[in-house]
Amino acid sequence: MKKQHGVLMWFASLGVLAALVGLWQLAAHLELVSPVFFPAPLRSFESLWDQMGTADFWLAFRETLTRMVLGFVTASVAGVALGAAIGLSPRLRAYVEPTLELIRPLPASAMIPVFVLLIGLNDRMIVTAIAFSSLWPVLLNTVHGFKTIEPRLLEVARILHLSRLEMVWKIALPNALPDIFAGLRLALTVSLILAVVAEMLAGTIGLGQNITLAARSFRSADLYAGIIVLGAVGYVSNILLQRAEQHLLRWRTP
Amino acid sequence: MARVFKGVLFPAAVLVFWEFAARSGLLKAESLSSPIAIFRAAVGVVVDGSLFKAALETFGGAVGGLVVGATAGILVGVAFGLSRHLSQLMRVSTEALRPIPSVALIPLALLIHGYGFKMESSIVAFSCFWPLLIITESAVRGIEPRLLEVARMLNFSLRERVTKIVLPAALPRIFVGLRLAAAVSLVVAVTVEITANPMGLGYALIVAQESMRPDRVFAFIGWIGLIGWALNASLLRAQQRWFGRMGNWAEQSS
Amino acid sequence: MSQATSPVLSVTGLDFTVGSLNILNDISLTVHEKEFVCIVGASGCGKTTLLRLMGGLLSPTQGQVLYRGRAIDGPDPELAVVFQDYGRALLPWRTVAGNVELALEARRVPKNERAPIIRDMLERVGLAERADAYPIQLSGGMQQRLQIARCMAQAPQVLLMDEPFGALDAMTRQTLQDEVARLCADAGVTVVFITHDLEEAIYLGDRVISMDKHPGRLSETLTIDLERPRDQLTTREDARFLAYRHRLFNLLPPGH
Repeated sequence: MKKQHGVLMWFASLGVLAALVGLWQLAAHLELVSPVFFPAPLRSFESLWDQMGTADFWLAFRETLTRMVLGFVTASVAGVALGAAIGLSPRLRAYVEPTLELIRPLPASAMIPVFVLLIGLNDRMIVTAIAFSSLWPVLLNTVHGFKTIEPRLLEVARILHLSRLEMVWKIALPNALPDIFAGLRLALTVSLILAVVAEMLAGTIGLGQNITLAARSFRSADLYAGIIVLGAVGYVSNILLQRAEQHLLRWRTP
Repeated sequence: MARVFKGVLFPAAVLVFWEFAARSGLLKAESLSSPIAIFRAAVGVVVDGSLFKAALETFGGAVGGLVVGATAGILVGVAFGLSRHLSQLMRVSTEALRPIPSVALIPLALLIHGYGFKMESSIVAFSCFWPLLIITESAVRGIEPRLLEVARMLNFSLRERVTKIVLPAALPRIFVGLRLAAAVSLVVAVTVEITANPMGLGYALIVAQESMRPDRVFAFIGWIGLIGWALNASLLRAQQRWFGRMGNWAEQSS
Repeated sequence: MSQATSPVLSVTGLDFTVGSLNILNDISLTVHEKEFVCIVGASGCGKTTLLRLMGGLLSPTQGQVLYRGRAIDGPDPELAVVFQDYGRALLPWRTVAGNVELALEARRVPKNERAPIIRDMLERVGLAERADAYPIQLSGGMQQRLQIARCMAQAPQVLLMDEPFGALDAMTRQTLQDEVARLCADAGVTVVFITHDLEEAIYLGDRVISMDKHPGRLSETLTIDLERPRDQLTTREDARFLAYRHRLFNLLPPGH
């Protein structure tokens, strides 16, 4: 009964969105809003549909996504490995943690100019910037996950004479997974943002470049279409990560 | 004492190595500068007033957006928190809008407002809206039901219920959300400036990069980090002072 | 009554001091093969500390702990520890079976030999039906049973139990008391059992040792001369049981 209610509500909610979009369409049709700033939704969907039929669009899509995924994966692997090493060693932590805390409040995009100076305005710079900035959320959260292991479990490991490797693999890592995933979720958001920002700065082919050009030429329907695509990228990538998290952490939900 | 020493040792060693590497030509000083040059630049931007001017501009954009976005987020959050039906009906709409990366809206904001303060604060507002919506809704839902029963017993109107019971009860957690949003507002403002808006600390970074002045780039990055840290630290202190006495509602200190 | 008399675990002149606080003072104790020794004392008298010292989780300030004649220098799977906060000693990301398997992995039991042992352990504690459940889905009593099963899977010589039923309700406690008594008798393990519950100590033990506090010191030893297997109703009404209870009650400070 509750599940049916939930599904019903979801459809009603979908209906609300459709109604709001319908209102917008009406307002645009009646020219109550500027067609340049707020084009009719149908035009934006039309543009999206058309764009998806072009090779250029998919090239841009692939470019952006490749950079984002490359940077994210690099950052994740490095972040977990480093985070595990630092989190497990109280000695290392004493030296390194204060520095990590200093880096925490820095805006991720602030390092882009440094990478431009170092590498130039190209693809490599973008991926490096993405990887560098996405590293920190993963690293910081992983450190936290590895340093807060239930002491009772550590004692069980000592009693059972588990080797260090066994302890890390069977106890520390599963214990740290929730924190790691929290870091990964943040890193994913950062990856997308940095990909768009870096693209806009470097002017390379990609989804960010697409919407910049669309805005400059006042092609607002194309612009909105591009925003929808970026929103969809954010949404889908998050869902994928969520699924992975739910599968690996299914022991959490009673 | 030893703890402070250990914490300082690592960054100090890095700085010393950096300085040495820059001087000996190991590192490209044209791209990465050296700690001493950066320090001089950091002092320089204070002295020549450019830091103050840029910081003021960034603060303007950040605060302007924070006030609008946070207020909207709190109001909608209260509404969603009090009415489960409303929240459920708006579920799909919020889930559709939330994944849009704020940077994807930059070209749109540019289109509508052109360069300047309004464009930046509208992006900041969008970014601050969501965390406050989520946190406020959760805070309102989590209000001690007994208090709401008291409100009903005293025959409070909706406005009285919200102002005398709901908001005060949810305030500590809302404040935590505000702290988060403040940090977000700073980060987003700087990001917008780096990407598109020719004003503020982010733009100062771009100018420094384009004039091939890595010392100024790092100097501004350092100042941005310091400002962000100081902002968060003072808000944290305010939180502890105002809400500390009333018992531990607002939880983590991060 | 204990069967053999060879000492399994002995503690001589044990002292444990932290900073200026002397927690345990001159503790000497010998536990014999297959004995079930209960240590009772008020909260804060140091019984948990004593147990952790016996399990090698702590090092004494003075004196030693001897396991089968050799001084121990750390924890060992043969000295299994059943913790009071059972929830924290279980791996939440492994199933019930997976938690028991951990002990077998530690013993380097080959993979293909594990399943029957796990099933046997779970059946002994009555958790065979929940083998695929996660700890979070179990009640407190079941979680404690799981911990006991994991400890038994270590094939221990000694079972050190730290107020294992302290966090459970009275009915569950009684059920588990009988289960543990049966389990340990069947497996032939030596047991050191810490509790603040006088009746539990008398009910379960072959010997009950009372402990003073500030600093922790062993005072009297009661040898329990009651037949096994014991029964929740009849044993507890036995005149001897009541006599032991009186003795212990007078030994321990009021309001503990």
